[in-house]
Amino acid sequence: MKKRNLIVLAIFGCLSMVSATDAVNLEQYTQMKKKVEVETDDLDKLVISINIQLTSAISQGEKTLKSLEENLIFLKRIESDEDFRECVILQDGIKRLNYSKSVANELLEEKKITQKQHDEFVDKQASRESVLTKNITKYCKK
Amino acid sequence: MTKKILLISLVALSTNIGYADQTPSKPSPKPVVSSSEPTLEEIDKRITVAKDYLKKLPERISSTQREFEALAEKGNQATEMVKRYLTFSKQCSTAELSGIGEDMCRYASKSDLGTLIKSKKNQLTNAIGFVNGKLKGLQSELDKTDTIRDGIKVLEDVQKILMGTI
Repeated sequence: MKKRNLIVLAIFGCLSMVSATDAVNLEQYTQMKKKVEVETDDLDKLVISINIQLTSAISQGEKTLKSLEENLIFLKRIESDEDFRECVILQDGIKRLNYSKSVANELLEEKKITQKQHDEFVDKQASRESVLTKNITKYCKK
Repeated sequence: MTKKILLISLVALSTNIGYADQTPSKPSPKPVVSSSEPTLEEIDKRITVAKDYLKKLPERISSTQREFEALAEKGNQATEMVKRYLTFSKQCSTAELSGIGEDMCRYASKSDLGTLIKSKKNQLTNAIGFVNGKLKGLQSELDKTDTIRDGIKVLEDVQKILMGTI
C-alpha cells in the first residue's frame, strides 16, 4: 500500500514538472514567433535601404578617390614642372581678379563706393587681367 | 499516511492544472530537436546577431561617408595650401616689399616648398590607400547583405519548423 502510494505520488510529480516545462517553452516560442513575424516584414526594406546607401557611399568614395588622385598628380606636377608652377600662380591671379570684380560690383550696388571709383578699379583690374591671360597661354600648356 | 499522500498528490495536480491553464491543449507544440540539430536558442542567437549587424550597418556607412567628405576636403586644402605658398613666394620675389611684407616673406621663405609638398603628398597617398580600403569594404558589404537577409529568412523558417508552426 505504502509503495503504491509512493509510485502514484512520483507519477503526479513528474507530470506536473513536464507540464510546467512545456508551459515555459511555449511562452518562449510564442514570443519568438511574434518577433519573427513582425521583423520579417521590415527586413527586406532594411536590406534594400542599406544597399541603396552602400551604392551611394561607393559612388561618393570613388569620387573622393578621383579627387585625391587628381590632387596628388597636381602636387607631383608642381614639384617637377616649373612652367606649371607659374601657370598655377597665374590662374590663381585670374581667380582673384574675378573675385575682386564681383566684390566691387556688390559694393557699388550697396552704394559703398561711387560709380567713378568702381570704374577706375575695374579698368585697372582689366589691364592686369590682359597681362595675366597673355602669360597663361605661354605657361599653361597641357 | 494515506491522507498525507493524497494531499500531496492533490497539490501536485493543482500545480499541473495551473500550468495547463496557460497552454492551449491542441496542438501541443514541442520542439523537435535532436542532439545533432541546432536548438531554437542557437538559431535565435544567430538571427539576432545577423539582424543587429544589419541594423548597425547604416550608421557605419554614414560614418564612412563622413570620412570620405573629410578626406576630399583635406585633399583640396592641401593643394590650396601649396597654391597659396607659391603665389606668396612669387609676390615676395617680385614685389618691392618693406616692413611687414618683407618680414613675412623672410619667415615664409624659411619653410621649404619641397618639404611642404612632400608632406602633403604623403597625406594624400595615405588618404588614397584608406579610401581604397574602405571602398573594398563597402563593396564586400554590398555583396553580402542579400546573403545575410536570405540567411535570416532561412533560419526563421527553421525556427518555425522547430516550433511546429509550419
